[in-house]
Amino acid sequence: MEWIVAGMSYIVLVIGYLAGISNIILLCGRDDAGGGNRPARKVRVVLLSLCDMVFLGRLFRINRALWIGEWLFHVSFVLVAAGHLRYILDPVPGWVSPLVRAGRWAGYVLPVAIVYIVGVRISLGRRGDYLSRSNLMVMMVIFCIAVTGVAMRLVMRPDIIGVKYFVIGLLALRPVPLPDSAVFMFHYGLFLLLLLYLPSHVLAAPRVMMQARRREESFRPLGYEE
Amino acid sequence: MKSRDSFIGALSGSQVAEIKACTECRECLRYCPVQEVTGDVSVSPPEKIRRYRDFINATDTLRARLLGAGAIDRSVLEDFTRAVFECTTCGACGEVCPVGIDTQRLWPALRREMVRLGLGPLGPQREMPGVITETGNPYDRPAAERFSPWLPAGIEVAERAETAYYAGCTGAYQARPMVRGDVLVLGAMGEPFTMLPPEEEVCCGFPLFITGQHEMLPELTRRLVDAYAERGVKTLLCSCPCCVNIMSKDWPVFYGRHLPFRILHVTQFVAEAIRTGRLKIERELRERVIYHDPCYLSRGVGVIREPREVLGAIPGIELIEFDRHGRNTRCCGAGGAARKVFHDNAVAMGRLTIDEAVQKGADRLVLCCPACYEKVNEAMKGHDRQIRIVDIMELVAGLL
Repeated sequence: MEWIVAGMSYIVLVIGYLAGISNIILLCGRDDAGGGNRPARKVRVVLLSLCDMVFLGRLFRINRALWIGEWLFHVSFVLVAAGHLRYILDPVPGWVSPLVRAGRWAGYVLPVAIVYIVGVRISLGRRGDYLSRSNLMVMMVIFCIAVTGVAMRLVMRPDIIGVKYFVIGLLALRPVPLPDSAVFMFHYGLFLLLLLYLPSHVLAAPRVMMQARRREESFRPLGYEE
Repeated sequence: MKSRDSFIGALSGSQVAEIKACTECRECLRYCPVQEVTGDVSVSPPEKIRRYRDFINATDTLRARLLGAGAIDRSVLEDFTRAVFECTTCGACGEVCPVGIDTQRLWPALRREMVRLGLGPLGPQREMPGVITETGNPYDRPAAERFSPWLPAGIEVAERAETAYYAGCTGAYQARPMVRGDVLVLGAMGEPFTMLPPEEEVCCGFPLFITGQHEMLPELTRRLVDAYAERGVKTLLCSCPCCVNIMSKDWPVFYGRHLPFRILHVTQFVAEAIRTGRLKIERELRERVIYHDPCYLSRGVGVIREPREVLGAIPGIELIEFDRHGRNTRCCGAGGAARKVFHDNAVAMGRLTIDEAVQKGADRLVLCCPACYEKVNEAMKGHDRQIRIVDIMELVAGLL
């Protein structure tokens, strides 16, 4: 049984990540269109791009109601993921402890942020067309992962040592049985599903954001080219 | 019939990354003019990107290369082609994209790919290469009629000069009061300017570029650039934002090197003349006017300030703005050669522009693009709301 679970996990990892990364390299690494009419200042482009990535600066300019939800969603998602480092690292380094604490709180924020985002999008759209099916599906998967995570923290606590053994076993290619917890199995199954449907934008968006900043920084209106 | 062709042949790596990067957040739906008048999500920017991503995933990814490309049904491709050609390529979606996708350049690239696969262009767009080869313009009109109906007799056009004026096909054949205004204002400035003979002033290539038909573009570009260079031109003026776009962004690519002259929109040249006192608008106009930013002038080449400077120099005028103006302007429906096929959409979008201008209490709607001029005038025919439409140079010429 443990080998079936491990095999599924490895396949999903390969499809979700390795194929995704190789496709980005294969398809997007061919050339760079550039697009501006003067050289951009590289440090400024990098800083502004980082700002766009970390603070979702473009969304902030366009739709602040949605921005607050999206920013909370992304930050809490990253913190929750970082909090899970304690299951992967052995021994757990000291710097992981604050991340675990932050991840615990972020776990409560994450589902709230998702509900808020869906609410804002529905309220903005005509006939609900402001929400795509694929987008909604991914958000629902993350919502369920977050809710089962909170449930395992508050009410249906699994054998935490068993969980750690399971994860370490997977990483060491020495699979051990899943902990005897239906909620954990559901939580982990949804995690695999999320990896499988990992949106391609996670890998490509940072490059496009940087590209856009470079284009904007190198753009001068007609007649003002340097 | 099914297709297994590659879908990334005409796209740059950056554009493939843009297709991969779309989060389908649908923020752009609120700004898409086609979406606004059709309500059809299947032609919306994120839906087009999603479908194109599916095509790439089926035929170009690692899995497709290792295990063989998946087949895509011809009807699905035709449906997508219709959607991508229904777009006005106004670029409003790109302006509000949280990821920063440059859609004003992406849509023409996807159209080019559809042309390469034999699926586009649509309807009358297909005739354009033949018509341009035959007559030099996409309207199938004789070169002899290019200037004569509107070029005022008193205007002196020099044989050689450092400044040249390119009227453009849409201006010369479809929006004549506009190009007439251009030359009247240039004439009033007293500086010599040259023009190519009507049979030499051929299409700039934009209609071919925007419909993905690139074969003739290097030849058209070379003919025009060499002809202007031979006349000693240092500044080429044009009032059509689409021409200005292809001239400044794509001519250097098709020509293979930097152009031997600079490109300016006519409002930039006139604004500079007003600033330096070479042109003064004497007559007063006590009216509220509203100015519509053409998509390819504002989002395309960033000319936003100068038209307002020109209007601001008219004594007595009150300039008001659309809710969406500058880089955030809303398309009037004339863009992307879509008006040739999706006429009803274009009229509906034009009427939205008219309605807002009327609602804001403007006496006149000032335009700055021959395609906008043609289409918004057409949209007003039979519409219950009416407003006087004028081109910016037509207005200025009448007040000199």
